[in-house]
Amino acid sequence: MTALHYYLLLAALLFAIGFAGALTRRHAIVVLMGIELMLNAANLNLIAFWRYGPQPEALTGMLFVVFAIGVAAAEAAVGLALIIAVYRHYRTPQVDEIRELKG
Amino acid sequence: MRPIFLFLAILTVAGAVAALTARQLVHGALYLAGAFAGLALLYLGLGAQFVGLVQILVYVGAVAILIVFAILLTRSSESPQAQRWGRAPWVGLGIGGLVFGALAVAILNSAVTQSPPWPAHSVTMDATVAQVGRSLMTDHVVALEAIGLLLTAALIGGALIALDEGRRFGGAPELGENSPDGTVTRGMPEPSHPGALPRSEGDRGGGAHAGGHGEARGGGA
Repeated sequence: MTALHYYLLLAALLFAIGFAGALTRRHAIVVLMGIELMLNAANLNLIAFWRYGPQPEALTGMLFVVFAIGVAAAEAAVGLALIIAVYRHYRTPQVDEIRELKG
Repeated sequence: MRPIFLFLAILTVAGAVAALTARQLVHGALYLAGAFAGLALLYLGLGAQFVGLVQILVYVGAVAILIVFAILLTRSSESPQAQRWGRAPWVGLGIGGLVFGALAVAILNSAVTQSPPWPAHSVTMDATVAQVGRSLMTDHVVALEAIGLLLTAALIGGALIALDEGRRFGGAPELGENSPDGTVTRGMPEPSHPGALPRSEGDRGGGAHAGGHGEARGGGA
């Protein structure tokens, strides 16, 4: 069986990829995709610790992930709506051209 | 390390890298769906059937499609050869590499690597959907109600944020008569006025044409 720390390393790698993508890309939707990848990496950590933990029959880690997926879905919906609203206003999806809060 | 884990890990990481470096955004969204599917298979391999299927339903099914719709709604006229990376991409990549290096050193030096590869008492355990549902309805019922409320708020808030500014305050017909922006351009990128900030200037001009009426309505709302 695959040992626990391989899952943790994979989750760390996914988190780093999402983080680097969110920092380097200019398009707002790609930044949001990076944030979704980071959330998924955290979920993989939770599932792995639940499975290898002392009490997997308590289901706590698994339900934590279910709720995290719900929160992430809400975040994605509101985030994409915000991106569409900002795009309508500024006519650009590039995050470094959106410099002022004044509408 | 089993080969199936290696395969799924490579699939997931390659999907993630391809999603964040793709030239075409739509291709990136599809690669992202592939990475999410790889993660769902990893969950299934860990014995979390319910979470794996929820991952497929929510991420591969809903979030990826939502991202594709957002890409289509914000499709700009600029060429795909436009600058994709920020001003200093190496700084971002370096910070990402530092984060991974710190996490990897911490993981490899922790007691986790000495733990037994698979706890004996959980080999036959798998969480059935009935167990998950019972736990959701008894121990975690408050969190379940809270997430229902959150999803309702996100639904209403997302619809309200994505609405057109003119339509949001209920004054669309009058605005449409007075300014060209109100009706012609609803929900769609308009060809911008030459040399003007398109939407904000247009709105301001429309308000000036409409007189004090539009200002009062905006203030009241």
